Formats: sequence, structure tokens, C-alpha cells
Amino acid sequence: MEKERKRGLRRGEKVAAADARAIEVRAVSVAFGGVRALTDVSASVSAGEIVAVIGPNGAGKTTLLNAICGLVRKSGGAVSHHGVDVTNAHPTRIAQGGLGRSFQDPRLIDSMTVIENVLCGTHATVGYSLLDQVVRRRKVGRMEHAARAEARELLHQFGLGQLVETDAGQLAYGPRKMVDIVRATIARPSVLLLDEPSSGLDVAERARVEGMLLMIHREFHIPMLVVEHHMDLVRAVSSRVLALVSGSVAIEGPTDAVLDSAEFRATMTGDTSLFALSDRKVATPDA
Amino acid sequence: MPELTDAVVGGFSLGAIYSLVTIGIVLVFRATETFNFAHGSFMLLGALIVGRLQVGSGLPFVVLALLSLAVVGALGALLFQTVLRYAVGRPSFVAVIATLGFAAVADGFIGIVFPNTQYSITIPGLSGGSTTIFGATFGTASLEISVFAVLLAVSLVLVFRFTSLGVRLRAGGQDSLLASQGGINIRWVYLGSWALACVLAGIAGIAYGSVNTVNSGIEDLALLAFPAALLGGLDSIPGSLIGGFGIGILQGFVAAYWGGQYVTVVTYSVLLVVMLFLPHGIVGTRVVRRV
Amino acid sequence: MTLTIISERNDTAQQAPRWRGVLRPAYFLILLVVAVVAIFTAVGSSYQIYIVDTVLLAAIGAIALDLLMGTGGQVSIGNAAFLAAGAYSTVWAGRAGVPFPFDVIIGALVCAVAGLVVGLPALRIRGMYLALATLAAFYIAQFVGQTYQTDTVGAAGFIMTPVFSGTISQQSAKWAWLLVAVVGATIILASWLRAGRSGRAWRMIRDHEIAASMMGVPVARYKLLLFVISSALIGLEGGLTARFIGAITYDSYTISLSISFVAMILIGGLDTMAGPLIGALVVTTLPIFVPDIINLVGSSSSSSLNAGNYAEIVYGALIIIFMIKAPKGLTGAITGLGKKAQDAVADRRRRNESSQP
Repeated sequence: MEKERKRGLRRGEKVAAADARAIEVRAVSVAFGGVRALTDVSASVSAGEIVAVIGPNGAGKTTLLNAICGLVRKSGGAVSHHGVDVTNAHPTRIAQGGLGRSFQDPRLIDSMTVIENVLCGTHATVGYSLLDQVVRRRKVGRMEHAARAEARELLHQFGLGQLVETDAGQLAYGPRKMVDIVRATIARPSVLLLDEPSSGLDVAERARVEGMLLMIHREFHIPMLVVEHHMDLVRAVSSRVLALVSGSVAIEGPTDAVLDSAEFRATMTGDTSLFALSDRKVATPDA
Repeated sequence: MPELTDAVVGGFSLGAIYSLVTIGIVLVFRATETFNFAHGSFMLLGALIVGRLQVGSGLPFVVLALLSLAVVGALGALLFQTVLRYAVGRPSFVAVIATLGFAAVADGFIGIVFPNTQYSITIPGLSGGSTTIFGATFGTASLEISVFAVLLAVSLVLVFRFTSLGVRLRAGGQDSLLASQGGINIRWVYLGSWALACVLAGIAGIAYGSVNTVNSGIEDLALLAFPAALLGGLDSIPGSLIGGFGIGILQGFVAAYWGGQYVTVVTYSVLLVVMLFLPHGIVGTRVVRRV
Repeated sequence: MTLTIISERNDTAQQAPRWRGVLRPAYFLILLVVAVVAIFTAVGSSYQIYIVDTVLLAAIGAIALDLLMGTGGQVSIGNAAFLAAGAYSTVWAGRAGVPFPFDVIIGALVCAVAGLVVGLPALRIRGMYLALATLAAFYIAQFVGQTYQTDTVGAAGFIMTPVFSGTISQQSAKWAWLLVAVVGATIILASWLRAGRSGRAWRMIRDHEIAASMMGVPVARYKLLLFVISSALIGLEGGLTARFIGAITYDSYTISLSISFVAMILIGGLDTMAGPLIGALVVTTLPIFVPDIINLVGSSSSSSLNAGNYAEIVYGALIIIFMIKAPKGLTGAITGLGKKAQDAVADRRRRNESSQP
């Protein structure tokens, strides 16, 4: 799988040194026809980290994720993955380079089963060609069999084993979101972006998602950037928090320090009198 | 000189008809964000009802025309009501395919009720004979029809711009949430837009049919109006005039200088070019592409 | 947590590689088609075999269109253009001396290239705009065909020598077996493509194009491949039809024809294996059965004259119904019934088990 993932990087670019950050966002700005969605946003995710992005609706959190994925054009700044500059890279390339993503609205294919949906996430890693599908049937069969076994195993690990052959269209909203996360994880991405993985879920389902994120962190060692609204989930999984307000970083720092601060409370209640909407760190950034 | 006049005047006549049809296409698009591929059927039906009934009954033209437009308008409302309400929220091609299905039904129906005779429509009050302009000869009636069509199209544009009814129709099409807050019943706005669009198609069909023969060629005319709508900008009513006359004059020139068989292919090539390079047409709203 | 445990199926049963299951339904379907053809060629009238041939030919195009629209979600109402392109290229190859079946193969290849050209705008246009663009492609193709025909033979159209020898009935029968082979191969090819990696990629493009690129799917490449494959198959049908009928003229390729293919895949069921065949059967035979039904209801001497019109009304209505209410078409209805039956059986079994002491 590593080989296939490296194939996604542009030829000639080496995978950068191991200490390069998984995601590095430097002063990125995004504008949609006059509306400034992001202004000079900087952020990073390093190996072993789970970073949460919080903020009121419309603050630009999803835009930030889209900017990292290459889905929106940036009017300024730079984004890099593992030291490789991807500011202007095509989203498919970025995904093939090892970036995984889940969506706020779980975009599954209703007419296919759960396991088939999860296998959609293996497109870059299970790499037989269209021609293979016609002339090299045995090779295709082998690779599919192996991929299916892995998908089944992963679904079991996440406690979704009994859904393997269920049609995605029959799933309730909670399981759909979980399948979306499994789909994003199966290719063992080198970094995972999650867009509100617990939105619309009840307490029990949120606990399940929390367990999934922690398992991805502990077992697969995949660094994550998580956009979230539920602070209990943020506290439970993330080591650092980034708060976005109106497209700018309002606060940033270790989770508990940020969430316990007065500035944060002001951010969440919209009371901006306590501080200026510029980059403001509550504690010293990680050395 | 005669070819040039042929091109310009002929193109102008066509353009007038196209403008009427194109306003209908834009109305439909603004109401339901879809194309009505059955538009041609409405044109043909409008013309056929008048043409057929003029032969048998002794009814005056005005009565027949009103009858025909009422039928066509009602059918348009029916199409909207039964088919398109269910297609809302689904991918855009669902409604489009549904209108194709309706076109098939309409065509089959037309084929049975109005078998293959060609009809012609006589509008009383139109002058007979021909006029010569700069060496090219035109039927006077066809010139008068064109002027009528232009006046109708322009007045429609003005009505939409400046009257309160028109503003409501435009607002309804533009932002349904806002408009519904203003106390405008959205459903009626959409329904009205559709009915009006189909009535316009009927008028265009009758107008065209009065100076040419009434046959299935009229339906192709509606299909040729789609490039006009895209050229002008799918959501712009004034744009319909620009697009309609633009395509009409283009077709006039192609027909006069190259030959009639090139008209369709050139028109549709323009469509492709516009779609690829000028997707919002000349005066349509630029859509911000969001992810 | 609202997960329902569906059944306590033994997990090892699910471990069996389901991949090999891809072709089993296809074989069954092909066997069915072979059986039907065998019956008709043995005891059917010449007319009936001719109908069977027409249905088989339509099936090829329907399978191709279902791949494009049902699996890939690319709207195309210009498929008559590819039929025409395939037919005319076959004619042109034949007139250059290329024998059957190579002239038809050339027709398919020309359409593959045409599909590439048509697919390029599809990269930037979607949904109903794409439908409009394919309409443009139709008109352009019609123009080319019309010009070629009028320049070479005029309005009477092209006439070709028959492929097979023998009486009309014998020729039709030979065509039936040839077409069974072609349709069978098409079914198998489509099954291979619709399953596995490419099927998943196309469905992601169909349903969630942006998410597709996030899975690493090169969307543009897959769209173009789909257009190429689908167009080649439709061109194949066009070429075979040209040789089968023996005469072609440009006014047989109408928008109505394109719509009838859309009707086929909607009625049969989008993105299914049997759907295109069911749809081809229904739409092709409608002009035959509808007048009979009309005659039963009310007598009209013009009913056979208007067969085509009645058929249009019926499948137009079916398009509307199936598009709005049931995109899974008849196949969906059948599998739905099948599932209901399965559930009923499982219910009864469970009740029996629980009633045991």
C-alpha cells in the first residue's frame, strides 16, 4: 500500500523528512467572489496529534478543510502535507498522496452495501486497472478478496460487523456517519480530516464515534484534524484546539487550556469585546 | 445586396419568434431550474389547434387563438403540477427526462389526433402580397408577424422589469425563500411562470405557423431556442431578446450565404461554445462555484 | 445506538469470496436469452424472429446507455447520434471494401473516438446542461451523416448486401444466433465493468463527484473512459443494425429514437444487469402490442397505422412514471417483490422457531 500511495506524489518529489508536519497551513486566505471565507489562517497537525477546529457556524471551518484538500482555490498562503507543497495541487493528487477525509453529510452510495461503500475508499490503494478487469480476472479476484477481507476486518474492529452486507440506503444516520469514517480510514491515510463526525448523533452514538477516533489514533497512529461542535468530544480526543471566528484564528493552544479560558467563552458567546480577532495564543505553542 | 437583406430581415423574423420562445425557456428555468424539452410540443400544439379548427368550424381567429392558448397554458400547468413538483430536490436531469417523457406523450398524441396533413393558419388582418426591401422580396404578412412578435417580446421584458406583478414573478424565480417571506405564494408563481411560458410557446407557434406551414418542423424550432437561451443567459429575461435575435440573425446569415442545411449544426455548435466558454451567457448572473 | 442486528448469520458464511458471484446472475440471464432465441428460431415465424433480432440489437445500446447513465450518472440524450455514426462508418468501411464483421468493428472504433470527443465537454458540464450538450452532438452527427449520404447516394439512402445467405427466415435466424453471442459478450463485459473498482468509482462520480476525487478517483479519466466504452458499444449496435436491415437513411435517426433508449433503461431499471434487456424488450415490442390492446378496448381501423404513436404515448408516460417514482424500474419491482418474499419466508421461519417449546 505504501508503494501505491507514493505513486500519488508528483514525480521527483521525495517524501520529506519524518519530522515534517502531517499538515502545515501557512497564512492561507480564501475568498469567494468578494466574501473572505478565510483570512491568514495558519494551522498544523503533527504526527501523533489530534487537532480540533472549533468555532461558530460560518466561521470557515469546512472551508479550511476544503482548502487543505485542494477543493478551493487559495488567494494567499501555502499548504503542505508531510513537507510536500500542495497549495495548488489537484484534490485527486492530494488524496492519492495519503490524505483521507470524511464529510459532514456522509456521502455514501445508497444502492451499494456497506462493505462496497467502504471499498470505495480503497481506490488509490487497490490499484488494478480497467483492462485488468477484463483480461486479468484472477488477479482482480485475488485483490478484491484481500481488500474485502480487510474491509470486513476493519468494520468488525469498529463494531460495525453486522452491517457488512446491509444496503447503505437502509442505514440510520448514525451508522452512515460511522461507515463514512471507516471508508476514510481503510486506505490507512497518512493524515485524516473529519468534518463534524458527531453532528446529528445522539449521546450513545457520539461515544461510539469518540471510540472510533481514539482507536484510529492508538491503533493506526493516523494524525487527525477534526472539525467539531461538541466540546465533550473535543476534550476527549484532541490534544490541541484551534478556534476559528469569521475566517480568522481567534485562539489556539492545548485543549484544556483553551476550553477553560475566558477568551474561549467569549468566542463561543460571540462577545468579542474581550479580545481582538487576531491571532492570539493562550499558552506558548508546542516547542 | 439581396442576400444581405435576406439574411438580416429573415434573421430578424426568426429572431422575433425565437425571442418569444426563449423568454418562455428563461421563465421555466427561473421557476424550477430545469429545461422544458417539451416546449416544442406546446408550440406545435398551439399552432395545430388553430390550424385544424380553422378548417372545420366557422369560429373567428381570435376565438380559436384564445382557445388554443388556454389549452396550451392548462397543459403547461398540468405538466408542472403533476410531474415537476415530484422532481424537486432530485438531480436536475430528473425533471428534464420527465419533460422528455411528456414530449413523447405529446408527440404520440399529436400524431394520432392531427395526422400527417399540413395545416396553415390564416390570420385576418394580415396583408397579403409581398414587399421588396433592398432587392429582396418578403411576404408582407411575415414582416408584420415579426414586428408583432418583437413588440410582444419587448413589452414582456418591460412588464417584468417595471410592473409589480412582473417584479413578483422575477423575485419568485430568483430567491424563493425571500420571496415567500414577502407574502408571495411561491407555488402560484412557479405555476404561473410555467403556464405563461407555454402560452408564449403557443403564440410563437401560431405566429410562425401563419406565415409558414404548420408541421413538426415547429418543434425543432423550440429546440433551436435553447442555444438562444444559453447565449443570452439562462436566468435573464432581457437576455432572451439578445439571445433570440442573436441566434435568429446568425441563422439568417448562415441560411442566406451557406444554405439551409447548415443552420442547425451551426446553431448547436454555438451552443457548445457558449456552454464551454461562456456558461452564464452574455448577461446572465455569474454563479459563484462553491464546493 | 440504533443498529439492528439483522440476523445471526454465521460469519464464516460471509467469509466466502463473494467476488465470484459477480458473473453467476449474468450467466443465468444469458442462458435465458439463449433459450428464448432457441425457441423462436425453432418454431417462430419469420416475423417473430425478426422481432427477436430487433430486441437483441436494442439491448446492446440499452446496456451501453445504462452503463453511461445508470452507473456513471452521465446524462445523454444524443445516443441516436452514435447509432448513426456507427451505421455510417460501417457503410463507409463497407464501401471501401472492408468485409463483415470488420466494417462493423470499424464503426464501433469510430464511435469510440467520437465518444472521447463528446466526453470532453462532459468534464465541465453536468446534469441537464450535459443533456443539452449531447443534443448538440446529435445534431452535429446528423448533419455529418446527412451530408455524407446526400453527397454519395442521395435521399434514398444506402443499400448493403445481406450478410448471410438463405431465405429471409434463415437469415433472421442466423442473425439471432450472432446477436445472442454479441449480447452475451456485452452483458459479461458490462458485469465486469460495473463491479469492482471501476463500478465503485463510477458510482461515486455519479452520486458524489467531489467525494470521489477525495477517494483518489481521477474523475476526468473515468468519465472519458465511460464515454468511450459506452459510445463504442452503441456504435456497434448502429453498425450491426445497418448490416441487419441492409438499408439506412439519415431520417431514421431522430430524437425520438434517443428518447426511446432512455425509456428502455428507465423502465428496465437504472444500474441493473437485467434492466436494459427488460427495457429493450418492452419498448421495442410496444408498437406491436399496443394496437392490439387498443383494438381490444375500442375498435379503430387506424390503430395499426398509429401503432408508433400509441407506443410513444405509453413509453412517454412510463418514462415520467419511472423517472419520478421508481428509478429502479421493473428490475427494482421484481427484486423488491423477491425481497418481500424472502422476508416473509424468514418471518415465518422465525415464528415457527419461536413457537417451538
